[in-house]
Amino acid sequence: MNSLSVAKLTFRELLKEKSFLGLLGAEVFLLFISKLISSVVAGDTVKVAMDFALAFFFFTVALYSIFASVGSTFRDVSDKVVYLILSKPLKRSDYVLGKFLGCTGAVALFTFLSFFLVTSGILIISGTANLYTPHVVIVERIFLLSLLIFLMGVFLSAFGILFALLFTSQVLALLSTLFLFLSGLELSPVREIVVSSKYASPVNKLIVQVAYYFFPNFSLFDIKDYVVHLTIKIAPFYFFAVSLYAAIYISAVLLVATYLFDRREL
Amino acid sequence: MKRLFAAFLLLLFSVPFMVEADRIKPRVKEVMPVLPYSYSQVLLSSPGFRSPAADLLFINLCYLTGSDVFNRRKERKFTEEEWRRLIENVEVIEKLDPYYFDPLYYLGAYVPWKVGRKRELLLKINSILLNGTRRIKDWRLPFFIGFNYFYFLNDRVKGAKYLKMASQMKGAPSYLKLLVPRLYAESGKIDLAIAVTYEELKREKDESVRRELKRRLRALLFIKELDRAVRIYRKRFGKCPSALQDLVNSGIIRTIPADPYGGKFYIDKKRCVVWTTSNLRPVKRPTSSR
Repeated sequence: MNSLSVAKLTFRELLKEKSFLGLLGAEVFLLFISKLISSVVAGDTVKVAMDFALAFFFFTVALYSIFASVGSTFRDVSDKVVYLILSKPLKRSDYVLGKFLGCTGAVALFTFLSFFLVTSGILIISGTANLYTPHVVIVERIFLLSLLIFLMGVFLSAFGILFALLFTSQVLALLSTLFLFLSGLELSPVREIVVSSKYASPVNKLIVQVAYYFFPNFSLFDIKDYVVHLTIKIAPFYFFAVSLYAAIYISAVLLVATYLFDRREL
Repeated sequence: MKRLFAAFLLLLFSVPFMVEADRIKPRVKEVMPVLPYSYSQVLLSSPGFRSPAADLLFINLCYLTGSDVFNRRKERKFTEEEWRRLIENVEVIEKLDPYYFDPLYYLGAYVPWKVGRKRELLLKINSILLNGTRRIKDWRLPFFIGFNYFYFLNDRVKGAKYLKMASQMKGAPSYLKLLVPRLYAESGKIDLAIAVTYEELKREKDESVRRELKRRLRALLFIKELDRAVRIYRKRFGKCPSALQDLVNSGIIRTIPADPYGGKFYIDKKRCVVWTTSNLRPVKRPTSSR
């Protein structure tokens, strides 16, 4: 048995989960909500529908990644499945890696299906909208956003596994990952506000700056504005830099997870 | 099954009580307030939902102004403070979603007509619109700024400056190119008007617009020439000529040129400058000289 076998097991188990189909169903429901909200706005209704649909897409993938990674890892430990797996000739670090790869596969499939749903929804909304100046939708841009959202999902899965191995309560692990995600999203705005504020003390500014450099920055994966406003341009290097950042940070998180799991008494 | 039926009956039985209680429940009739939103608070309370938050604020804005537009019977009129908040809320929306055009369109096309020529508010509107022009390349934004300066603030020079900016942007209607020199000319900046017209002539490819620009240029050059003659007359006689014919009688010019627009040149005695009865617009029948 190796990490690939654990990955396959995790992947299959995650596809059978209710949360997989449940969140995809929620995605469809939220698309309807986006359409409804857009119908009450004056002007470019497609822009508003896209804003909401893409924000919901972003959050649904994030929630799925957190639920899948924390839930799957925690269940293995609490249901004692981990004993069964580790009784085979398999290192603990291989188990963690396998878990991570399995979650990555499930997140990839979930993101792809969400991308398909959201893109179809947006194209239908755009096609049926009665606008004086049509809002052009570029599917390639939605695809690029989906790639970054997938990377963010993988990033969150790594943290989910780490927290599931670290804490003895599933709720605590879930909340910690969620809190980390929201904090990572707020990092750039908080820095923007605090650094430019006349009232923030130098110590607070320093704390925010340090947090900005070392806390996971999830707002990097949020390029929804680039999808909605076609005048915004992004350098191709941006995608390379973000992918590299995610790869390095994920490796570090997995190293910590394997270190902790090696020392954990089961 | 019996229990389910009983439960259903109980549910039905509860409905009239709920309806009656809801009817007599005390309600406060309130006018929806125009709340001031803070950029930092909205930003921090909507992680990942920055653009949707901007959309919701704009919906709120439209709803509030919609009540002002359609709810005539109630005659809700916003106070100056409420207009200030509305304008500042558009600024918050633009910070949240800097490429969102519709709130700026609302701000430029609707709000100036409602704020009652309040200089401070109009300048605030213009500054928000100007910020928008840095990101959104739409001719309507500088057009609104120029229009506000020209129409509400009576500043023709600044108005012409922004209308010129608008006229050079993609999609701008061709009449803007003719409007700009006229605004400059009306404000007494004939040289500037001539320069702008020359500049446009160099750039313009459309033959019909070029024809109009050439006609405008001819008229402006005549005005400039007559203005120069008026200055010489004033220097020589120490007073403003009473009519253009005085310039001919004194030998400064040979004839009074005909206005290419079909009007007649005359002397505006208040400012002692030359202008035309056509106002630089084509007239079907020449009007009598003043």
